[in-house]
Amino acid sequence: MAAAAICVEDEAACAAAECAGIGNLDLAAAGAGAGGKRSVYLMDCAPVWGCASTRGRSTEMEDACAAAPRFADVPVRLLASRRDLDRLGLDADTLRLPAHLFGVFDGHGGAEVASYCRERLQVLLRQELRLLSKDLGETSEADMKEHWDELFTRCFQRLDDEVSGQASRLVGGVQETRPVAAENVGSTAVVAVVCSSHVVVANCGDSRVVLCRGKEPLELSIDHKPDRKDERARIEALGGKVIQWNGYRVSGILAMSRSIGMYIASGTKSWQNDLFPFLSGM
Amino acid sequence: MVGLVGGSTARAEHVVANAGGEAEYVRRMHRHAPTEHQCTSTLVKHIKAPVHLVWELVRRFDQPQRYKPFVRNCVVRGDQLEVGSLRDVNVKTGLPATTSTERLEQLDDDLHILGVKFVGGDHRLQNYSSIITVHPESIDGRPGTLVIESFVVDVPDGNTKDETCYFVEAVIKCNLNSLAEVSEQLAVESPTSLIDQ
Repeated sequence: MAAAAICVEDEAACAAAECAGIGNLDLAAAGAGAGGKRSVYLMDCAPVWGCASTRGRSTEMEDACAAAPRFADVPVRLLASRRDLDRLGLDADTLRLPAHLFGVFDGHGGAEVASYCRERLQVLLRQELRLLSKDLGETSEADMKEHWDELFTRCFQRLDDEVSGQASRLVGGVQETRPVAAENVGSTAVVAVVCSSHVVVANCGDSRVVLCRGKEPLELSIDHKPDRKDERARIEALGGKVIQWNGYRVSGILAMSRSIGMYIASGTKSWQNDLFPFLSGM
Repeated sequence: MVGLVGGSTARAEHVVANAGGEAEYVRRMHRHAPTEHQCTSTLVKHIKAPVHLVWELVRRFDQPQRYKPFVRNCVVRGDQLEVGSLRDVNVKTGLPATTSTERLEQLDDDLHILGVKFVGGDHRLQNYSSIITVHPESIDGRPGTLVIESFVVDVPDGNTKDETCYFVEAVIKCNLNSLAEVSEQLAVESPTSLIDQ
């Protein structure tokens, strides 16, 4: 039975969601047959996880990673259509799957933003998932993708706003509006939400999620690189420029096209966009 | 707003009003003689802080990190800080360089001129030479500072003049904006500014 359980778990589908306007959430519901097996939606998915990090060539560690087992429950209708759930005899309106969160945040210019993301993103996601449960109407597969995309976009945008001081945050019980770090400090953010039936991935920047299934690696995230055709077009449409200077860089300076934080200049909106047009919500 | 003043091959964008005074300073103090394979440009920044505060930040050849956001730390070689001194600048992560070795070419506390030349590092900026000058001016009836920074540099293989200018200007704009923030913050905190008013 244990072996069968593992086998069923291994059939879970995987999907990647690009944050900030690149809606490519690809959900494939995996329902086990009614037969003798428990539905994949009812199986307990206990995470076995580990973390290893090294500062590499840097002189300081600026990375952060988050692991939050059972950080929230996901309404099952974010993962499967009502029709499929009905067919399996599951209660589409009340069933929630325990979910686990894993994230990597690679800081640049300093560690403050990465550390902030590590603590804060799971709180924001938990809040959004709780709110979302009241908002699910008749959810088709396309709607599921939209919900996940909107959910992650709101979380990443809020995170970005708090980091920059555009939104207040609670520090020691007091509302704080000063930026988390200087304007030249930022971080990537790539997160995976794991439950028994699905892995949902959202990305901002050039960190990466790879699934190892048996011997085959499968990329679940797409890097935000300045020389990606769509990213370059977006940057140039905003008046920025991609220059090859030890790699392709925004203004010749930053090697990723989207980032949490890293604004580098106060001033008018157009100025800000002109230099670093990669707010996560843009 | 950081403005651009026309240099030998600079783009005539963002021409600043009141270019008379600036143009005169540029003509007298920001002369570069670029070769065919070099580019040059001049940028200006108006800062709402007295000139002595701004100059104190600009002139610290041994502590560029006080206002330059991309500098992690800086070590000056030797004991005496004088024209000809070298500094080794370490750059923060995520940027297209890790170190820069720079020579102090000019430091005039009366005319408020700082000249620096890059002599080493992994930034691809060969024969980079810059001049920064600060000048007293009045902004909204209060003592302010006009900062002018000009540079000349080789165009690296694989890049165009436009790209090279764009990149260097982007870095200088970051530096000048940060200089404005730091010095305006100091002006607010400084009791001297109250006495001045």
